[in-house]
Amino acid sequence: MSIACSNDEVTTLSTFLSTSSTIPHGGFDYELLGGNTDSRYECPICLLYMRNPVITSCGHRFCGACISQWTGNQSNLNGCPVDGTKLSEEHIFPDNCTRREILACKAKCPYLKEGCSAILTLSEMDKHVELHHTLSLNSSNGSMRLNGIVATNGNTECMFKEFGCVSVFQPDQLQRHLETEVHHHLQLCTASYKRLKKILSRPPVMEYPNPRDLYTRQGSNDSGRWLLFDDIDSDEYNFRRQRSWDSVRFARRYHSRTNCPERLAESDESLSKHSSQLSGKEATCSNSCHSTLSAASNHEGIQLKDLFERIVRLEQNDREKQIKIDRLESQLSSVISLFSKVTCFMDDLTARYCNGTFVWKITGFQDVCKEMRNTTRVLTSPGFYTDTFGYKLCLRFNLTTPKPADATATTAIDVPLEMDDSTHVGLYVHFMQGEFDEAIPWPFIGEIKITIVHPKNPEQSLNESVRSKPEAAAFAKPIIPRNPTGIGYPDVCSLKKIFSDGFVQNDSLHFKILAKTT
Amino acid sequence: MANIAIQRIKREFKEVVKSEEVAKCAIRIDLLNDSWTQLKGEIAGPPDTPYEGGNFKLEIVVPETYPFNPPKVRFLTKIWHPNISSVTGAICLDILKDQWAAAMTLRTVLLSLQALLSAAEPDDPQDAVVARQYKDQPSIFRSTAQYWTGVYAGGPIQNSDYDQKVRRLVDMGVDENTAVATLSSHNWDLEHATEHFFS
Repeated sequence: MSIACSNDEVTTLSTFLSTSSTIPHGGFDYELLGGNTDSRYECPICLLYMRNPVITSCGHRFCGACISQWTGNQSNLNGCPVDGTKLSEEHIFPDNCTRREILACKAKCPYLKEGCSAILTLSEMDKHVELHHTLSLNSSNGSMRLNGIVATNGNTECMFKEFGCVSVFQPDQLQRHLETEVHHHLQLCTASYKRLKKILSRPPVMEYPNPRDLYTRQGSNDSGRWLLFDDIDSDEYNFRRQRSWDSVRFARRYHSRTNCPERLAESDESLSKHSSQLSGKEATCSNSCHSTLSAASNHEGIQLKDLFERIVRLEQNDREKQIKIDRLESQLSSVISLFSKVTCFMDDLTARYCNGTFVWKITGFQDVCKEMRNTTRVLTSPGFYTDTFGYKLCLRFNLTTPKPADATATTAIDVPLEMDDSTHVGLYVHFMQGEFDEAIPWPFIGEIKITIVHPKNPEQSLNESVRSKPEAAAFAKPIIPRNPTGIGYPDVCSLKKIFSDGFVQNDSLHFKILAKTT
Repeated sequence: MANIAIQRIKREFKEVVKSEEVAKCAIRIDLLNDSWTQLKGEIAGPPDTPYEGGNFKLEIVVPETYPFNPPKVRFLTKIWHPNISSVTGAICLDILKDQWAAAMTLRTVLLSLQALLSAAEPDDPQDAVVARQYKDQPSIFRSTAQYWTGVYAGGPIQNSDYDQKVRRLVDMGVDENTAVATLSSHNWDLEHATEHFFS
């Protein structure tokens, strides 16, 4: 938006600005969030939140401008405005701590009624108002920032002239005009925006100009001039392009209608003349002459523009796709997390509704055993409940070596699993903290039966059962997630027996636990 | 008018309207026009003084340089007080002159005036006649101030003796306000007052 000023206008404006800078700025005249409740931040002189606060030696705070005007004003008695303590320059200090606190306070934009719902800190507010709301200017008190365009006759033209507002008025009517014609100006802006958009979205012309067009263009002087890519600037570009294409179209029509052979022959003759010119110039690469070659280079310009637009479109496409992918990824991750939750829930349900009979299947038993023999020697089953609201238990599967002092035990790791006679299977039941521990009696009273299932012959299954002993720590209410003391058998059988007697089928082993309260 | 003065008055106005003194009807401020420079104040006569029960109206003019200079305040309601002119209502109060401080507000000014009504300063008088009466004949001062409060400020206390004397002068063709003022200045001595008019 251009602002044209006459010389007089410039001087008055500069006087305005200079006088406005001498008018002391009081505090922040904004409506603060939650009301201006904190009286600590209020300047006693202007009663607003302090701008550039200072503190006096007697401990009172003021806006920098307010106190300097007070001390400058009262040349005879420069007492503190609050308690009358004598003040001079060296008794006043900037209070940057309070300044920061005040600048961090949030306030509503003073143009709330006009529809601006911005809520900003005081440090940002001045800039915001200046940036977004300077149109509500008041030409009478010197805060004028926007000017109309001063016409030669001294009248002012509206600053929206470029958009099509034709109003002309006295300079002092500008503000009134701006206030009353908001809708009109908005409409003009919208229309301009639409026009601009239309120009930018018009698909570029792709066809290569044929010699006949070239001929016409050359013949029709200025109107047939091609436009360079750089010329694309405004409405004017569109208009000129339109004109040139109109002339081309007209020429085509003209040629198709005039079936006169002489004319055709004549045009063909000049056509061949020009095409020979074209080839000749292409061969010499001379840029000196502006005719067919310049047309061709201009065509390159248009092609370039077309390519450029395609790139923009593709980039846009790419961005949209990227956004879509991001969205899908986030959806996928939420689905995955939901699925894992559901799985957990299912496991929990299984554990809860097994009614005291739990089958623990260890798949890949050979690998599990090898791993256990080398490292932890312990594997713990998932928890399960004796009944829906009962005790929570789990099974611990141990590999033990009954004679650790024996030298063969240390080498047991090297023995194949099927032959390992020194490593034995231990099975223990542990009580776990369940959801309903508060509602059930402790210690647990009942019977727990542990079975190593033989898949082919149930009679060969190894059974062990445990009756609860009230005094044993293993049956007490667990105080950590899993009671460290378990109850069971350190040596049910040897690992060799497990493998050689066919307990392992399809590389998996089943344990069955039956827990019943009595 | 400078922006800062208007801003200040607007904010003070809100403050006074919300203050507890207003709630107790002790002070009041009204706008006279849209310019925020002409205001009307009102203070209640403080208890245990001759002014009790009266309502005193004040004219407040806010200067462009406010709050760096004091507001110009004067009594619109006639009042009998050593520090207030019984003729013009002009006030002699240090904070309205050289002791003004920018942190003072219209509210504190009105409260100070109220305090002035309860504690006169006869040694720094605005009205010498009243001040002399205050010092020499305190009981007459008291009844005079009470009488003025009753006549001009809507106070409750009547004084039929004074009323009669005033009526006598009015009957002689003297303006009522002038009659009250003259009688008050002459310690309600009807003869002296009559002499004052007709000598």
